[in-house]
Amino acid sequence: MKITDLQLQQYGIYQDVSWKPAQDQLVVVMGENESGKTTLLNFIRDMLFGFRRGMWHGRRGNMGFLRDNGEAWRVFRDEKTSWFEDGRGETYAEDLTAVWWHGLNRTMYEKIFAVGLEDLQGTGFLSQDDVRSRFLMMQGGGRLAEAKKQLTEQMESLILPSAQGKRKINQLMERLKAVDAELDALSSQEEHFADLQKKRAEIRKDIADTGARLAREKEEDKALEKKLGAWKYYTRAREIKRQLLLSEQVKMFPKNGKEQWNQLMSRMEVIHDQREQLQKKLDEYTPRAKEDIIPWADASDALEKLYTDLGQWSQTIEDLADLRAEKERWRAEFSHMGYSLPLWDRMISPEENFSMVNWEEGRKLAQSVTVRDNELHFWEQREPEVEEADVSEAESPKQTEEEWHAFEEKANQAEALLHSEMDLQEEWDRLAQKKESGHTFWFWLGLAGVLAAAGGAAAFYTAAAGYAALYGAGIGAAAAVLGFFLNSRAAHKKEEHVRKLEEERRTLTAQRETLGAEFPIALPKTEDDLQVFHNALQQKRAEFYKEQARLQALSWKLESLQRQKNEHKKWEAEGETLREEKARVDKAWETWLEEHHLPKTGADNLSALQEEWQKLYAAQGAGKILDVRIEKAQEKLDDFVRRALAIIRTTGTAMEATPDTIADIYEENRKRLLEWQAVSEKNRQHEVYQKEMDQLTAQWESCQKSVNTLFSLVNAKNAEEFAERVTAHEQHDQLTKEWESVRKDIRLYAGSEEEFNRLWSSLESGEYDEWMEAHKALQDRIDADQLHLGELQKQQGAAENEIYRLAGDERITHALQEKEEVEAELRHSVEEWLSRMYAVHFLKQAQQQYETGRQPQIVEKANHFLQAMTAGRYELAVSEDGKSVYTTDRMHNKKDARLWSSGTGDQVYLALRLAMALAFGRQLEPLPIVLDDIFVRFDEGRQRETLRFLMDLGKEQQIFLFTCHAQTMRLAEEVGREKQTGSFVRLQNGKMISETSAATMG
Amino acid sequence: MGKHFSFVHCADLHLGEPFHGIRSGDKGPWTEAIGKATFSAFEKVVDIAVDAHADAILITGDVYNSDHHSLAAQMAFARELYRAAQQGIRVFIVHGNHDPDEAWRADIPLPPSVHIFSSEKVEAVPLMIDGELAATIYGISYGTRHVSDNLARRFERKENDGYAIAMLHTDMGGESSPYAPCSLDDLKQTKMDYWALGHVHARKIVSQSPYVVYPGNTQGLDMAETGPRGCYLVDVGAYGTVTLKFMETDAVRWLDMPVDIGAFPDQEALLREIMRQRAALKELTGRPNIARLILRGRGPLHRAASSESGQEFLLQSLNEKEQFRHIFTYFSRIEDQTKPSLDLKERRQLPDVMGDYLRAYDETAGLPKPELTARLRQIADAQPEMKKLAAVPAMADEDMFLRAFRRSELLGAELLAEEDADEDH
Repeated sequence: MKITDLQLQQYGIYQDVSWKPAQDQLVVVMGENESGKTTLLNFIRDMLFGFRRGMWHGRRGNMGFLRDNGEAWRVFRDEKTSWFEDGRGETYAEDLTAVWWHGLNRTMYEKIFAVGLEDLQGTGFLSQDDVRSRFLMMQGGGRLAEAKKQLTEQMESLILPSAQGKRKINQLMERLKAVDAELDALSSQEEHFADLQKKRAEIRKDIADTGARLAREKEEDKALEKKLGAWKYYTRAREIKRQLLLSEQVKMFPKNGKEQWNQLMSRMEVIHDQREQLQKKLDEYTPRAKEDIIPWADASDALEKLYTDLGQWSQTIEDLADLRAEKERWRAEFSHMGYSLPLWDRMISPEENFSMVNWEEGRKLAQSVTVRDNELHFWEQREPEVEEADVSEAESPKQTEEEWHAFEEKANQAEALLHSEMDLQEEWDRLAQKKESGHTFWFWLGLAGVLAAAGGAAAFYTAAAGYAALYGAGIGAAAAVLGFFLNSRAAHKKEEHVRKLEEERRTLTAQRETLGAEFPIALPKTEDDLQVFHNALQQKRAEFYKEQARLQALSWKLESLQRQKNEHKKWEAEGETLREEKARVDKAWETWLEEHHLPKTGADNLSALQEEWQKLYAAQGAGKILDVRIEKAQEKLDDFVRRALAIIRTTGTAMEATPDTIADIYEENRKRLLEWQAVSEKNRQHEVYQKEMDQLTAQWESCQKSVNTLFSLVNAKNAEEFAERVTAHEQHDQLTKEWESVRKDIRLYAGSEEEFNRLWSSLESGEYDEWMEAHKALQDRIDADQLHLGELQKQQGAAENEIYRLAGDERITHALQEKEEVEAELRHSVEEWLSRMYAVHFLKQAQQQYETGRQPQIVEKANHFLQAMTAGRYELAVSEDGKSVYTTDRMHNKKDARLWSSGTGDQVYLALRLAMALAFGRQLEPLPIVLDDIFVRFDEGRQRETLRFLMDLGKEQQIFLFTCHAQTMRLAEEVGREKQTGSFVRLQNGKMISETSAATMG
Repeated sequence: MGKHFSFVHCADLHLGEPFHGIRSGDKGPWTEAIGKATFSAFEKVVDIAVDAHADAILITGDVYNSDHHSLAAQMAFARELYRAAQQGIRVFIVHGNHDPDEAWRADIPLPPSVHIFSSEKVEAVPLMIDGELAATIYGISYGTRHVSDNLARRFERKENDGYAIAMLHTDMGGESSPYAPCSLDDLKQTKMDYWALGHVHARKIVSQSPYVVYPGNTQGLDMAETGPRGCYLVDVGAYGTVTLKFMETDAVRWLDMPVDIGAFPDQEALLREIMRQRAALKELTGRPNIARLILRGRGPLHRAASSESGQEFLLQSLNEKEQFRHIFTYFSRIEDQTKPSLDLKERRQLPDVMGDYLRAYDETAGLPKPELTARLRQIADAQPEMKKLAAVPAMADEDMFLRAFRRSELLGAELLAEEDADEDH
C-alpha cells in the first residue's frame, strides 16, 4: 500500500492542508521542533487505524492510498465517524485495515513500520517480546512457551501421572473404581434372590415336617404323663406301707424308753456343747515346741561362744584384708623388681619360683669357664709359624753320584794310564839314561795318593763333600800304597822292566786311546796336557760338588718346612680339643642357668647374678611369708565362718556368714527366748484343756453306749431309724387308715376298677424310671423341635425380609447411572486433556520450526541491508542459540550488541527493522515505512551511507524519513542529487513551506 | 371371519439402563426421574394395554441389559407382568441380545399368563379370545448374546392359525450382524401377517404388507436417541384390518436445542434466551427433558462457548435453576459449533508462530485416517499420564482421540492469538 495523498482538514496545528507524498522515492521531511512533524506522523497512523481512545475530538481528515492489488481507496475519519471508500465510490463502515492486514493494529504498526530514535536506542527494541515473537521471531519461543505453560498447567489440573495425584481425572478414576466395586457387589443380587427363593421353599417344607413331628410327640407324652401323675399317689402308698412294716418290726419297747431317750439326748447335748466350747478353745491354740520358735535351740551354746568371739572374727577379717592388700602391693613391687635388676631387666611374674640355687656348683662351673677361656686364649697366642717356601728347585740332580764316580774313575784311569805311560817312559828313559834315582814315579804316585786320601778325608770331615770324598781318600790311600810298592820294585827289576815297560807302554797307550774315544774331555796325551786335563777335571768336579751341595741344602729346607707343618697341625688339634672343652663347659654353664631359671649371662657375672638373685629370693620369701600369714588368717576366718554357717543352717535361712549376721541372729535368739517363755505358758494351759476334753469324751462314750442299748431294742441302726420306728410303732393305727385312703385315691384317678388294677400293677412293676426317661427324652425332643421350628420361622422371616428388601432395592439402578455419569465426566476430562496434550505437541513442533526456519531469513535480509548501509564493513549474523545477533567486521572480529558503537547499533537495528517490515509486507501487504529522526547518532559518513541505501530502497517501498536537522536534510539532498532520486519537504508551523524533488533539483 | 383383538407391541425396554453421556452433576429430583425413566416407560406400556383393553403385550427382546445383573430391573419387570396378568392381558416375550435366555438368573416366578419363547426352536402359541382362536403367535428367543443364524428362516406358518404374528429380535438388513441377521425378503417369505421386531431403537414400519415393525425403544437412553419414544398399539379387526397407533412412553425426553450466539452481546442475554426456549420446550413435550445445547454462529460469546470454563459456567447457570423442578429441562452438555473470530485459513498463511502451529497441526491432520489414528495414539502413548489413563474405559475409543485432536487446533491457535487480542485494548 502506498499513500497517495493526505487531507489534513483539521488535525492539531494543521488546518486544511493537503499533501501528495512521493510513492516511488524516499520522502525526506525536515521540520524543526513544533513544526508539526510528529503530528503529521500521527495523522498517518490515525488514518490507518483510527483515532486513539478519547483523542478524536476536533480531528478530521482523509487519506488516499493505493493498495498492492492496484485498488484505490480513501479512508475518512471525522471525529467519531469513519468510513472507507473504494474506487467505485462504495463506502464501508467497518475498519477494513484489520481485515486486510490480519489484525495488524496500531501498536504493532508503530513497532514495525514507524521507527523512532527511541526504538533504535540499544537493545531496548529487541526486548519487545511481541515484536520479536511475531516478526523477528527471536522470542517466538517465549510466546510458544507461554502457551505451552498454560496448556500444561491445564493438563496438570486434570491429571497427575503420580500415584498420589489428586486431580480431577485421578479422582474420577477413584470414583469409578468405587462405583465398579459397588456394582460388582450388587451384581450378585439376582443370583442371591434366586437362592433366597429356593431357601424359602426349603424352610417352608422343613417347618411343615417339624410341626407334624411335634404333634405326634406331644400325644405320646400325654399318655406318659397320666402314668407319671398316678405315680405320686403310688409312692405315698408305698411309703405308708413301708412304715407299717417298720411298726410291725418293733416287738417290745419299754414304757419309759422315750424318756430315757430324751434324758440321754439332753445329757449328750450338754456334753456336746461343753465339748464344742472346749474344742473351740483347743482349736484356738496349737501348742508349739521350743524348736518351732527357736529352730537353732540346739546351737545356742555355739551361738553364745561365737558371739563372744565376734570381736576376734572381725579383727581376723580386717587382718586378712590388710594382708591381701599387702600381698597385692608385694605383687606389684615384685613384678617391677625385675626391671631394677640389670641381669633380669623384665617383668617378673609373682608366680615364678625362685628355688634354691647351688651357688657352689655355679662357682665351679664359672671357674671352669674362665680356665677354658684362658687356655684358649693362650693357645691362640702359641700358634707356630709356617714359612713360605719355593720347592721348585727340588728336581733330580743333573748327574748322579755313580755317574760322577764312573766319570772320575775313567779320568783316574786315563790319568793312571797316562801316568803309567809316563812312568814307563820315564823308567824307560831312566833306564835308558841310567840315571837313576831312588824316587821313581811310583814314589810320587804314592805321595799323590796320600795327598788325595788326606784331601778326601778332610773334605769328608769338613762336610765339604759326601762319601765320594771318602772313597776318593780311600783310593788315594790305595794308590799311595801301590805307588810306594812299585817304586821299590822298580829299582830291582830295571832291566826286565825296560822291555816290559816297552810292551806295557804300548798296551797302555792303546788303552788310553780307547778310553779317550769315550771320554768327554780330551784326555791328556802328555804330561803337559795333564795340567789342562786336571783343570778341566777339577772344574767338572767343582761343578758336580756345587750341584751336590745345592741339592743338599734344598733337601734340608724341605725337611724343615715339613717339620713346621707338622707342628702347626699338632697346634690345631690341640685347639680343637680346647674348643670342645670350652663348649662343653659353656653348655654346662647355660644348663645350670636354665635349671635355676636364671637369666642368661656370662660366667664372669656370677657374683652379680648371685647378688641379684638373692634380692629376688629374699623378696619372694617375703611374699611367701605373706602367703603363709594370709593362709593362717583365712583358716581362722574359715573356722569362724564354718561355725557361723552351722548356726545359720539351723535358722533355715540362707544368710551370709558375717559377724553382723551372727550378731543379728544372737539378737533374734534373745527375742525368741522371751517369746518362748510366753508360749510355754500357753502350752501348759492347753494341756489343762486337753485333760478336760478327755473327761468329756469318756462321758460321751458312756451315753453312746446307753443309746445303742435303746437302738438294739427297736432294731434300729441310727437315731433316724429309731425315731421312725418308735413313731411308726406309736402311729400304727393312723397309718393303716392312710393306706386305705391312698388306694382309694388311686382308684378314683384311674377311673375304673380295671384301669386301677392295670395302673396299680404297672405301678408295682416299677417301670416308673423308664417312663420318666421316655418322658424326659420326649420333652427334650419336643423342646428341640420347638426350638428348631422357632429358628425356621425366624429364617423364613429373614429370607422373606431379604426377598422383600431385594425386590425393592434400587441401588443398582442408581449405581449404574452414577457409573455412566462418572464415565461420561471422565471421557470428557480425558478428551480435554488429550486435546491440550495434542496442542502442546504441535506447539513444540511450531517451536522447532521457528527455531530452525524463519529467524535466519530476516537476519539474512538485515545483513544484506547492513552491508549495503556500511559499504560492506559489517556483516550481521544470529547467535547459535537464536537469542541474539552480532556483527562481524572485515577483520572477522565478532561483536555483540554491548560492544557496538551507538552509530553501528542504530544501523544494525535499522537494518533489522527494515528487514522485518519488508518481511511483513511480503506476507501481507507492503505498508509505508516512517523513520523519525533516526540519524541523530550517525556521523556524516554514516548518514550519507544510510541515505544512499534508503534512496535505493525508497524506489520500491514508500518510506518517509522525518528529521529536525537541516544538516541531515542537506546531506539527503546531496545524496538525492547523486542518486537522482528523493523528495524533500520542509515543514513549518503546520505548513509545507517547500517541496522539491531530486529530479527537479538538477 | 376372524376374531377382533388388539395388542401392544414394544421392544428394547432396557430396564434399569443408565442414561449415557450425562456428566456427573448436582443431585436432585432429576436424579430420581432419570433413574426411574426406563421403569416408568414400561409402566406406561402396561397402562396403555390396560386402558385399551388390549389382549396381549408383545415384547420383542432386550427387556434389560444382562451385563448389569440388575435384580431391580428384573423385579420391576415381574411386577408389571403381574399387573398385566391381573387385567387378564397375556404377555409374549422373546429374548434379545441384551437379555438372552441364559441371562435371567434371578429366577423370579412370573405369572402363568406370560409366555417366554424358547431359544431352541420357533414356538407357536395360540391366542384364544373368548374360547376362539384369534391369532397364533410365533417366536424364538436368543439363547446367547450373539446369534449369527438367520432365525427368520426358521419360522413356518401353520395352517388355520388365525392372524399370524411373528416375534423376533433381529438386525434386519445387517448381513453379517451377530444379531440374528435377516432380510425383508426372508420375513416376507414366511407369509406371516405381522412381524413384531426388536433391536433397532429408532421406530420404523419397514413394511405394511405384511407389517414389519420396529417399535423402537420405550425410553431414549442417550443424546443420540432424541425425540419421542414408545410402543405401538395394534388393533386387528375381524376382517384383518390392522391399525397401528404410536403411543409415547418415554418418561424423560432427549432433545437438541440449537442457539445462535451471534445476537447475544453477553452471557446473561444468552442465558435469558435459552431459558425462554426451555419454557416453550416443556410446554411442547409435557415431560422432563435432557437437552444438548448446540451453540452456533459467530459472535463475542465464542470464547465462552468454546472454553471449558465458559461452558461450565453456562451449564451451571442453566441447571442450577432447574434442579428442583419435577418437569425439568436438564442441559447435559454444550456442543460448541461457534466459529472463532480467528480466521484460521488466513492465519495458516502467516509467517508467525500461529502459522507454524497450524501448519504443524495440518501436517498430522493431512494423514489418511488409519495412519492418523495410529499417529495420535503414538503421540499420546509418549505421555507418562497415559499409563494411568489406560484404566479409563474410553481409552479404546478412537473417535475420542480424533475429537481431542481436532479440538487442539483451535485451542493452541487461540492461546497464541491471546496476545494479539490483548494488544487490541
